[in-house]
Amino acid sequence: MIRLTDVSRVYTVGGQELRALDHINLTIQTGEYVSIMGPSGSGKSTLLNMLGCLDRPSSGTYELDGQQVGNLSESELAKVRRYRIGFVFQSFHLIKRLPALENIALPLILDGVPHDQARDRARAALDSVGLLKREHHRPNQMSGGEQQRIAIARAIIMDPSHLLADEPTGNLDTKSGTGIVDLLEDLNKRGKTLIVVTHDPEMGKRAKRAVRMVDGRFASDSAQGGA
Amino acid sequence: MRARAVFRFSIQALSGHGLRTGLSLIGIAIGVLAVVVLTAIGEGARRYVIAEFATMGNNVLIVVPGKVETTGGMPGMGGTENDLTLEDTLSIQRSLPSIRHIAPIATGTERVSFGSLSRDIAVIGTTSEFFPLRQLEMAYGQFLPVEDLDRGSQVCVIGSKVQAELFANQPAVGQVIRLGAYRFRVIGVLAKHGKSLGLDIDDVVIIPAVTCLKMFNKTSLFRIMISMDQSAEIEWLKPQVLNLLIDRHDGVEDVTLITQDAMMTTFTSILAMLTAVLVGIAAISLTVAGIGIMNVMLVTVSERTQEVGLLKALGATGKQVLMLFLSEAIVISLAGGLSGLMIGYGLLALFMRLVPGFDVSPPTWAAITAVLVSVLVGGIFGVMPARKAARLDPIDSLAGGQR
Ligand SMILES: Nc1ncnc2c1ncn2[C@@H]1O[C@H](COP(=O)(O)OP(=O)(O)OP(=O)(O)O)[C@@H](O)[C@H]1O
Ligand SMILES: [Mg+2]
Repeated sequence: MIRLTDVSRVYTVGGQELRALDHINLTIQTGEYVSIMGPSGSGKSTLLNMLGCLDRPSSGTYELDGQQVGNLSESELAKVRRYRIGFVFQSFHLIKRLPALENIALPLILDGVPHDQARDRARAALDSVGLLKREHHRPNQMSGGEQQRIAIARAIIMDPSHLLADEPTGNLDTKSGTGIVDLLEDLNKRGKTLIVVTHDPEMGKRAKRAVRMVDGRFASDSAQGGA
Repeated sequence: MRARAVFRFSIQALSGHGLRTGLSLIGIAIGVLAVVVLTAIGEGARRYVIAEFATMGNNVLIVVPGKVETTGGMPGMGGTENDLTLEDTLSIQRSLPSIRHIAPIATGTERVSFGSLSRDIAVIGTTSEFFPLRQLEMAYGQFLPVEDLDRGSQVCVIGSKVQAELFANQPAVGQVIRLGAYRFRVIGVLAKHGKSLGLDIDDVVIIPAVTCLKMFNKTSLFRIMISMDQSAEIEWLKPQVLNLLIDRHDGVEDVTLITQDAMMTTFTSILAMLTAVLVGIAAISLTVAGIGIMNVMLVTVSERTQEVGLLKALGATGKQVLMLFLSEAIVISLAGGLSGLMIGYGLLALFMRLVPGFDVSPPTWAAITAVLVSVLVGGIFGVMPARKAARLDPIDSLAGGQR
């Protein structure tokens, strides 16, 4: 469960204060499917990074699964990201020199899982995104949609409870974008909290809950039918 | 994260930049190469010299004509140098009866011939005392006879190699050989002895000292060798001999006295100085190499900013990021160290093949230290770039450092 209480994120640029998040209150239950939309610069990515523990609130408190995250040390935060958060990025962020399987295995390797075991688990994850044949392919030998699938396999390899995706279809054509959304929703159905930042209204509509941001605040937060 | 995984990750990262990695490890390789080759040669020289002077014996004093200036006085101001003569030898022998053996040594090179065979050979002129002094042994016949110093008979003793070359399997004793224009009767053949004090005893002809001086038209001896019963007596003997010779040479100190002790001390201090210079060279070259590695790693870190952001998003701690980049620097320097070592061993093996008899295998400690130090260099100079990576903000770096 996610609970933000009165969270602000303030950037100081050239002596000017900029409130990227402005006194936000937000609660997301485990297993929810939330979309975040809003104009460029409204603070969507800032919010998502905050939720993913890549950033800390300037003020206010963030509670993740009952734990106060705001005052954890750097390495404790890293562990939180490792075990509880899976990130999916717009630009995939795969390591170009490593084949698909090793990209997926990376979180396991960082966690000290032995090489062979990590590969087996990565292979299973690769299978679950339907790309077992691409095991030895490097990122530049795959299409954007395939690369994003690899990235999703990597995001779920540690079996985190939260999946955070920042414009996951932003670099993809409609068809492969739809495939990615299907895959993410499938993971949500199996119990993972799914939070998606998107500019695509169609995609935004598919979530069961839609949050709209403007100038670092929530303009609306509504339950909806979903897909 | 496991050490093996860190290593693997580093190798994968480096192999994508073969040329850059290769160039940055050259510095380390050269540093290690220099250390390995130079210490090997130093060690070889040390072993050689020790072996040479070990045969001299620590109860032996050698008198050499001429003053080896070690005090930095003005050369040429001490008057003319006198010859070291047979009379000097005689005088020392008479005034210092506790001397065990004393042998004058004169040298020259002359053409030796027997029958139709002939070649150039080193000739030593000395006395019967030379035999016990150098602890020689006879294969056949006898050594130079005991006779007055100024009486030079036309007899000679030959080394085992000379015997083999001139006489093959025939007995040499009793035969007459020619040395230049003179004829000498062979009275003995030395047993195989080998090299000592820079002279191959197997490849000489030994004749009486007076005869030798006359033959080569020389007035000065090459050396006088003196031995005592006890090595402890050498220190006492030194000033006695020196004062006596100064007296005889009109108050001019124009001889140098050599003892095994003094030689070893001098040589050890020269070697220590060489070692210090070597350490200096190594330190400079490894520092330069280290800066090169640091530079390459800084470039690497800035190129891979996004990767660092990703690693952090995936749950890598700052410490892990530090380790990953530090390990890369260490892998570069280790690879450099090992290639330097391999090339060094290769060159030395080649050298030993070309110059047999001069053993220049590098000391193990030097090889191990060189590699350890190279690893250390990578570790030290890799810290700064690795820390820079570890401290990167994950959000900024994921964005490619654009903000
Ligand atoms: N590191 C930073 N330093 C200064 N200002 C920042 C920084 N990061 C974000 N901001 C500012 O905070 C605001 C919110 O940025 P954010 O990236 O969250 O917007 P966004 O809603 O994700 O926009 P987009 O849809 O274009 O991705 C923007 O005005 C941005 O300029
Ligand atoms: Mg954004």
